[in-house]
Amino acid sequence: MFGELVKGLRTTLKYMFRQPVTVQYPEVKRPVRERFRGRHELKRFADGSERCIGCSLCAAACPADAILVIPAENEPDNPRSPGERYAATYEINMLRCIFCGYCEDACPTNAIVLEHQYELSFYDRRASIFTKEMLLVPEDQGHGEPPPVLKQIERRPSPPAQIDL
Amino acid sequence: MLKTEELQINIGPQHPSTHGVFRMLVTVDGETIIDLKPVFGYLHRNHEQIAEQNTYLQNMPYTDRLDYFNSMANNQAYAMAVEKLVGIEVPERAEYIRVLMVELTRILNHAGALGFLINDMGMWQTQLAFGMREREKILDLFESASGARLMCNYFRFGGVARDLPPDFMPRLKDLLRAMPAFVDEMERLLRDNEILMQRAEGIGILPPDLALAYSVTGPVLRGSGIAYDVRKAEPYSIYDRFDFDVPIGTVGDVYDRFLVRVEEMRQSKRIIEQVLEQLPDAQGGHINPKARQNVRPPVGDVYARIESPKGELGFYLVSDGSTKPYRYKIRAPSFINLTPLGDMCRGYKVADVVVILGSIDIVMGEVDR
Amino acid sequence: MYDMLYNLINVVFGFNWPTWLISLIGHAAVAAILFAVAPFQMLFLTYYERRAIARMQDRVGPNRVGPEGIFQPIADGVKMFTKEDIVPKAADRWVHLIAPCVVVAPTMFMFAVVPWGPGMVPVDLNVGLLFFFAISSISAVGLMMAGWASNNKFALLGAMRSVAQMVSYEIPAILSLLAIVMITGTLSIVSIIDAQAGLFINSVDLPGVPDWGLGWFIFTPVGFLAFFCFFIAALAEGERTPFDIPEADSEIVAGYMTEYSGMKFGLFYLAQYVLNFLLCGMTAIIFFGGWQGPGVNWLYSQAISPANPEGMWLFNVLAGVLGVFYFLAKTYFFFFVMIWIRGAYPRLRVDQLMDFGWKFLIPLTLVNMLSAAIWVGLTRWGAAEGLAFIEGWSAGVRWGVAFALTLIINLATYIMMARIYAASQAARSRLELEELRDLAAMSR
Repeated sequence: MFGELVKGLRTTLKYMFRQPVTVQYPEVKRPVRERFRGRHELKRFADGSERCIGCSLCAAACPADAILVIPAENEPDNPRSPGERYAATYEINMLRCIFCGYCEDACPTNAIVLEHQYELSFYDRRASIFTKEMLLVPEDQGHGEPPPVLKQIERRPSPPAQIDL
Repeated sequence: MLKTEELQINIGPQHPSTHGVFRMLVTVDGETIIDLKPVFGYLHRNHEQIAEQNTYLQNMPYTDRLDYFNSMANNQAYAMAVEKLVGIEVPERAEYIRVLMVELTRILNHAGALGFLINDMGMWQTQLAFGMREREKILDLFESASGARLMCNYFRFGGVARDLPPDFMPRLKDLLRAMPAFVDEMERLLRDNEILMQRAEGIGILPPDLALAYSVTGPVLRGSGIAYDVRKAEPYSIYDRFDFDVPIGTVGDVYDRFLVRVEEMRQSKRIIEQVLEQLPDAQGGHINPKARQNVRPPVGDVYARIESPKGELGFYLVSDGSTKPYRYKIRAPSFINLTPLGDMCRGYKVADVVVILGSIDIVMGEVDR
Repeated sequence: MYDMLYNLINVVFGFNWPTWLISLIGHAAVAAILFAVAPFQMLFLTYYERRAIARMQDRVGPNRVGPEGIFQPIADGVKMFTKEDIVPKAADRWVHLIAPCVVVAPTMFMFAVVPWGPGMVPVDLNVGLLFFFAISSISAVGLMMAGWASNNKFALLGAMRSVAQMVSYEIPAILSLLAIVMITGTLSIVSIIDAQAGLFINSVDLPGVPDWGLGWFIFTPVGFLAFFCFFIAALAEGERTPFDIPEADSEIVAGYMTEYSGMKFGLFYLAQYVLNFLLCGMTAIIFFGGWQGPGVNWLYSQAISPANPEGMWLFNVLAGVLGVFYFLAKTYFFFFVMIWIRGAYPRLRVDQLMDFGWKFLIPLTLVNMLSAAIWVGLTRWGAAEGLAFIEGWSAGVRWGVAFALTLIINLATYIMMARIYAASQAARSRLELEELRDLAAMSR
């Protein structure tokens, strides 16, 4: 009767002398996997112009209605993006976002990408709205091909979701 | 027995072991349960109505949040329903990846469920911590394949979102190699532990006829001795190609449900091993390239069901020819398995209620939707 | 303590104070030390428990506050103090307020008879053991008050469970100790420790055994079975897994503590951990010799004591330190066993708990008392008591015969009881199953 109970005790004692599997979070950060879907970033082309052309496809694809895009016409002498328009306002409500990744699937220019940052806490609800300034990568971090090419980035070969508008 | 005044207790909606916000209106005589009425609805999120406002594809991430332990299984059931409605072919390779993911889901669900069950019995988190440790390894695989640990949103109409990453297979093989030891340890823990046996044996008996009358499915039904498994009864996807057994219990008590789950983990491992053998020869890519994601199905209705880790998960969709479903109904296994709770608990002690509830393995996200 | 103070004040400083004043000062000092020690024990034990159980669960446990989290209990204490004290509207205010005090006070009283080291006992009562357990059962009143006054069904259920449990497990606990009391012939805790000198065989049974302070009762069959029963009963008394039914968090939220918050909740916690500490300490004292251990007796024989007023005060300190070290090491080991059990076992159901106490432990302890009587008869008695046939045996032979006989009796009883108990449990669950089937058929 008690002989069997000792076996259970042995198992727990065995674990006592093992290294714990937990990670001491703020000091040690577990690296995320390549495909991890975290905080969004608005990318740029190699010459520093914005990839986003303000087409609002991401907003249409969003199941949670978290994205707000207000497009504006590019000034012909000083275009901010290669297309006719650019996003004057680009806001993502991080309280609504469910990180499904449909926006990056929908984006024709691969402007919006879910990157690896996952520490997204904030103190008040107003701070949950991430504006374009916060999302847009710095100018020197433009990457990819020269502006006019509109094709998929090799890194994320997912099928584009075509959305009926 | 001494007759005393009956006492009505509300276990829940805020209670440590109701697995979320769930209320049981319990009438007790001393410690013995005279009646128990489950009360649902505290986590109602209007899921089905929201789904009718969204396009078919936009509903995919919402299904993740039904039974948040098994997002892959929910995805599969929904994807199958829409594919059936529209008539999308799924390539062979995609089917194998789907089966692989859902069987991994089954393992992680059972590891977690058994941990929670033992935690409810009062074994302070030890087994739960071990179960979570194993679950974490599978979640890591999910993250590398789909980009998220819990809310995977990995399935698409006609396949899966992306092909498996190159490092997926070696890590999966490592996991499979380490798994039998963990499953054996879990089983040993129950069989060798006198106190656990006393708490589990003969508790919460659900006779087969009653189980059928309540249309209970999944491990709860199989624990009652009825070998019903949608994977065998109506082989969907490519389940007819695999060789696996459907474990059944004898009495239908908590102990049987525990053992059925342990055995199902072993069977899932068997299926995954067969997938690994057959996957390299599979035809096609990870997704049907002709499948459009912004589907506009013809007018009609469809019901698709799978054997989710918790039981039969079905999606009933009615299309009016637009891009949004006209009606979207879920047959949630947790919800239906929860209905016989009153009959299962009657006559047992208050302490048994939480154990019986734990043995049903519910997720309130699925019960209340 | 009194002698030391007397020496210090009247001999060293030459104040010539009256003896009553000195003993008053002595008692006040001891009480002050103990009241400082008790909460400290509780703080340390919570930290110890959380770290140990975390390691069993593949975790690290609290390691943020201070080096390796050692200040975590202090942070918890500060949190408890600063939390709002909530009294439910429907509660009986005064009883709700008094209940935690009624629970804490007896556990503090119990320190009065616990010897920490050689000559380091606050009060050496000649009924110390009786005092200890008499006082400990008072806290059941406090628990019932808490459960009743909270006006909460979970609290009431928890309180009823805890009272039932305390009352039923007090019996095996005391019966198992009674076996030891029969052997030593005393209820004084200090005398029980003194009787455990020796090396595996205690020097009372076999005069001339080298005194290494290892003549613990655990090495005798009677003591072993008594320890086994007592420790299980202590788990139930201290409401530890697998008998933590009164506060089963997964069933009745927190039992009688459900409606308590802030420092009142903290007091319940304090009482519980202090009680656990004391029960572990009592296990160490009765069965593992308390402060007895290699070297303590020799050191103490050189020290200032009533028997040896010309000793060196340095040896007092050394013997005290070593004795307290042995005592605490044993106590913490038993607390570790409690944590270990908590990490490995689920809790029993309330009816299983009662079955186990009444149908298994109590018969076992009763048989153990018979063994204890045989032990006493064979090792101590002679022709005067009517056992003329053992008159000629040497002490060693007597001890050997007693050991063998009690071992056989205890082992046979244990095996038989375990079988009967298992069979009866199975039969009972079968019976219950049939009843349940009928009940289910009726309800349908």
